[in-house]
Amino acid sequence: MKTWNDFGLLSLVSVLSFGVFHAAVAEDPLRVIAHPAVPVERVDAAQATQIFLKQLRTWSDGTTIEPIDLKEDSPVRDEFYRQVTGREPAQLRAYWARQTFTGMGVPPRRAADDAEAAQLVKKMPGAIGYTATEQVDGSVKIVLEPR
Amino acid sequence: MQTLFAPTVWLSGRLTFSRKYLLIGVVVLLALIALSQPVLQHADATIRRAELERAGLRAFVIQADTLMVLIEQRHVAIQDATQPPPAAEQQLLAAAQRHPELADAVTRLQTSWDAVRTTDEYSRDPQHRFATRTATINALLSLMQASARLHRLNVDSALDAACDLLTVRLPLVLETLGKQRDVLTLDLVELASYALGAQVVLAEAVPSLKTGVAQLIERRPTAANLQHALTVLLTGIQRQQDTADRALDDRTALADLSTLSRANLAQARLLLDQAVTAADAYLVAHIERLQHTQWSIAAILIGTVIAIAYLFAGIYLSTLRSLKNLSQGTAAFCSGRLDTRITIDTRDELVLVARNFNTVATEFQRLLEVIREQNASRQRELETLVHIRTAELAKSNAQLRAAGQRVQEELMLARSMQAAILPQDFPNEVTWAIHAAMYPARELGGDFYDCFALADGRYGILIADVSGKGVGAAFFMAVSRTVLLDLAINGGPPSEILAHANDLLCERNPMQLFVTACYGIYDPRNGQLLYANAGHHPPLLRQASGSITALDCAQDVALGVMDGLTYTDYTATLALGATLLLYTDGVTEALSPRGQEYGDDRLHAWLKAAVPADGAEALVNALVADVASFVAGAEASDDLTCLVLCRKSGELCVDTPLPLLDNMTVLLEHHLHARLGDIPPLAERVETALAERPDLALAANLCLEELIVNTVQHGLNGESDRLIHVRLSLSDEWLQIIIKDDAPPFDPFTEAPVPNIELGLDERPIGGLGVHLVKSIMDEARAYYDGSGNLIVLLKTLHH
Repeated sequence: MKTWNDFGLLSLVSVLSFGVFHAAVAEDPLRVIAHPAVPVERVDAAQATQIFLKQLRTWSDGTTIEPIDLKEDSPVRDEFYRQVTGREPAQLRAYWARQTFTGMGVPPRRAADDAEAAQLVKKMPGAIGYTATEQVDGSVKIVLEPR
Repeated sequence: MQTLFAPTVWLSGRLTFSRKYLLIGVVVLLALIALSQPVLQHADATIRRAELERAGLRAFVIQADTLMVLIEQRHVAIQDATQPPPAAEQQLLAAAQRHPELADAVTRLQTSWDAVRTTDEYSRDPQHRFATRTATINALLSLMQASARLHRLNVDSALDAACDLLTVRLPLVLETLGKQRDVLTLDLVELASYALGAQVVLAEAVPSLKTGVAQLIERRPTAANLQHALTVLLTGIQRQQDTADRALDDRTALADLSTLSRANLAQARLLLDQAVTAADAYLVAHIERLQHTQWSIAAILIGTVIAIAYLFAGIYLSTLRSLKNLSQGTAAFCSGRLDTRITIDTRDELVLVARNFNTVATEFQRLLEVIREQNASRQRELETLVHIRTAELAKSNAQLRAAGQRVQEELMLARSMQAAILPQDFPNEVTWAIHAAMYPARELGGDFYDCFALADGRYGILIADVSGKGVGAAFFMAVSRTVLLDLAINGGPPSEILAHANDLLCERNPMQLFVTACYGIYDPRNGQLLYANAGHHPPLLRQASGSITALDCAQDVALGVMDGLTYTDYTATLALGATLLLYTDGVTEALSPRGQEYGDDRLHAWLKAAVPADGAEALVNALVADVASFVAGAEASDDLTCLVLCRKSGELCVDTPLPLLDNMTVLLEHHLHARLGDIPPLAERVETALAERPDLALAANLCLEELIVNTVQHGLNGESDRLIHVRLSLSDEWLQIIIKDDAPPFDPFTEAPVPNIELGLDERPIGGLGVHLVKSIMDEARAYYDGSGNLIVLLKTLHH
């Protein structure tokens, strides 16, 4: 029982730190982009949350969803999760630790930065990612703009 | 009850004993098979289930090995990012892919494996590698549980706890221990807490591990080493829990936890191996037990069948033997062995049948004996009766024979008498002769003939045939003959005789018989024949030349048919050497054995070829012999009668033998010439011959001298060379003197006039006195003409 108490404590710490980080990057133009061939034009926040937590794994046409994440220390990543999923980085770590330990899931592929993420989304069929940079050409499909 | 059992009674009535028993045997066999089938099927299903479980165990061993490999590979992979992803365990997949039920689990495993490779391509993050490999291990654990379900390891009540131990708890414990070790190796804060939290999984598994091991030891007492392995493992887990507790406050204790988890992992693996071995051993034993059960059931079934068959065979043979005894006994009884009794040494109902048979046989034999005795008694009575009747019959037969013999004797007497009334002596004169014969077809005949001298020197011949045969005809023949003879002897013409006789016979003919007759009067002096015919065959005349003619006859009616009839006289002349034949239809109608009649033609031919010189008797005998040879022994159809009259050819009668009367002794035979000078020697011989009776000698010489002188002077007219034959014969009563000459017919006794005694000796006619003297001296004096000369017969009685 001590183990689970400890786990709950960690979650509480993550939730408390969320509000502080959110205020710092409030001005970034965050967009969720997808490979142009994906069968959807828009996804909502809930769907985006399910996709990036790998709770939704296939598009409506059955093709595999390939979520592209960013490195853990990226502010855009933190902002994305905060805005779209409402989860703090600690929460995410705990989520993926649990998923990893139980073998239930593997964290999404992680790009080094926005540009690489956009590149991966453009290249990989079924890919979906997010970016905060201005330069988003028509090679990808913007499916969600959190603001 | 009758109706209830009707079908089976009907069936039984149509089957032999052997088939009845066979039917019952088959039914019992089917019942046994039907009864044992579920048991056998259950055992078979149980065996198959146990085999399935064994197959599951074998699959489990492979899966457990793979699990250990994957756990170890994960451990390596999180420490060495260059470690290649694990190759898919082909043996495991191949085994699993054979079962469609495992398709989902296999797909999941393969997907996990693929994910490992994909992730390894873009991530060298140890946590990533841990996660992908853990997912693979999770997929394998799912496959192991699905496989366990597929092989029904979880539903075997005997092994449910052990199965839970093997397929769920121990793999989970192994994975948990492996994850604890690996997580602690990764040294991530957020994962370390999960490693501690995983202690809960181990703690929860403890009761199941204990239950599973206890069940295995219960099933497999020899697997006591399991308990030791479990105890070591549980001790290790407890120490691990203590260390984890300590790690909440002291992070350095995590290193100890890692060490302990490694040791416990090995111990858990050991326990798993031992548990698998124990479970498999149990299943093998269980299968052997079930197979043994199956064999036992089969043996019991076969044994029961053999026992029933043996029992039925015994019953059948016993019944068959009893029935055979009954059948043989009945057959023997029916074939006549009435003392047959049937013995059956069983205690069933057939004994009653045999007993009843024996009772019936005894009773039957007794009744038969009674019947046999009655029959024998009746037989004896019958035999006695037959003896009596036979004796009576013999007596009657003897009487009948005696009567028949008497009748026969009477008939023979009558035949003798009939023969006696017919003339047996026939005239055989110098110039003519007659002979006749009658052969009756039966004892008595209806034919008759007669020949008699008439007073005027002529001779009557008669032949007749009465209709019918036998006694009646014989009587009518006697009557007819008497009538005809009475009438004829007076010398009337034949037509009158026949007419008169016809009237007489018609008056006294109660049997309506009739008689054909031919009556003729022959004059030996000139060969003239005067005759009349009453319905008889015309007489046949044979001339010396051999020509045959039937004499003319009117178609006059037979005598006795109707009275008042008239008949016609005819005349015919027999020349010298001619022969006249009178016959009845017994001659011409005589039948040969082939049915042919003798006939007129044959008679004519015979008569034509006949030799009259042999004499009348010879002709009669020859004709009778000819007819007899024609008939050749066949029974005579009618009386046979014939009469022959021969006129001799006119030769001297010197050598003609004189007829000799019966009982006469010839005293003298003397021939002399017709000369007076030959008379004295004759007188001397007569005196010599009658020396004892000089009186007779004197009388004889007187008569001889007188008659011979008469013959020499008048009969032969002085022809001195003619011969005169003289015979003297003597019987007890009579002296007979016969003088025979060959002069023309001349009767000195009828033609000589009574002498006139008054006249002088010289005045008397020649010879007249002498003949008178002869008549006076002799008792009988007669003269005949026989066709060849005159015969003078003198009789003188010896007693005066």
